[in-house]
Amino acid sequence: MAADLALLESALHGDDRRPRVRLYRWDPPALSVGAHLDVPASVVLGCLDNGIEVIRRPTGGGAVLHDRDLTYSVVAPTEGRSVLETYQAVASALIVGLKALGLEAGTADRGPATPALHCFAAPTGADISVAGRKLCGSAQVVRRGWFLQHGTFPIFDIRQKVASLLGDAADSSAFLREFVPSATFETLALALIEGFATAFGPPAARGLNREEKEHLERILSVEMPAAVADPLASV
Amino acid sequence: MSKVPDELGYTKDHEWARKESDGRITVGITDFAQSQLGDVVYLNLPEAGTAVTAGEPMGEIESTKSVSDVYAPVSGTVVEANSACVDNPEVVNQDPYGVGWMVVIEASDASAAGSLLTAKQYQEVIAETGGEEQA
Repeated sequence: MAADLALLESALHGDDRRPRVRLYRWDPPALSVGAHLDVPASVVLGCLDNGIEVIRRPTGGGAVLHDRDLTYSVVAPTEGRSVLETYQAVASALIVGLKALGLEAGTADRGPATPALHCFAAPTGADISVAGRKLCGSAQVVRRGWFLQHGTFPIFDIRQKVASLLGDAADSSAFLREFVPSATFETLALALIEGFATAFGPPAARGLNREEKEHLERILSVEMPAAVADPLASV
Repeated sequence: MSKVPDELGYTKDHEWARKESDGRITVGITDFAQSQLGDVVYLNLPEAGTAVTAGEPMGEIESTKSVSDVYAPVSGTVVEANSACVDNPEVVNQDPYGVGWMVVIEASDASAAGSLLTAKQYQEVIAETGGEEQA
């Protein structure tokens, strides 16, 4: 996610206004925590005990367990659109991509404004749902006319694991293999690339350029705020 | 149509500023900004004593899982942050020019408020962003 922030920083300082998209997975698994979310120390310790890293996202929202999922990031100009409108622009690309897998997806109904610890427990009105259940949670950071959006598609059923880690009741969110039993990271990635190409134009695949790498090195050299100040202090 | 009170100054980043009788500047975000953000759930504002620079981020606001910067309209020192607004961020949506004010700044340049956009100029900014038709 530091690389996503580097893409945003680079876009802010450059004149290339084309959207940037990244698709990736996690090794080891990680719990990503929204920019302003306070996570109980017990949750952090539970993750560390299970070999799960805990990292702070620059984007808002709740906590997301990344375990054999697909995570996307989009960096694009807001072009005067509201937060909800930019969510919907990305959602339209994701919906086209999921259609390539045979899924009829839509945007989830809007949930309560109160932030929830578990991201998948709180639909925003621009999250992706299939058969009325949330399949993709998304969050953003907006800076000077550009937004960075993160989103995650669970491929396997990790709901019990999430419930156990976050001390929550198992939620009713969806996972991809429920609808497409043969789905893999690769098949979903190819479908989403097709969706983004339809929405944003043909992709020009590339790694980080020199300027983006410089931003990444700078970001990595600055310590991000921890999920909790000191998880051991309160136990 | 978003409210743009005539008596306030504005920034292109959608903050409003009001010069008080004691010369200090009260700051918040505009009605247009709150409507673009959606339901505000979190605010991080600078504490009293913090130096801020015009046009640079001075705080953060989170709405609909989206984090945005709040920019300082003038340079100076924060003398008060609205803790009621931090405790109840929804007031930013409900009353952005009243209860939802965010900070009071002692401007380092007494004439700084004079360089802000007028209500008419700010309405043009809104129109240029494609947000709304001009009044």
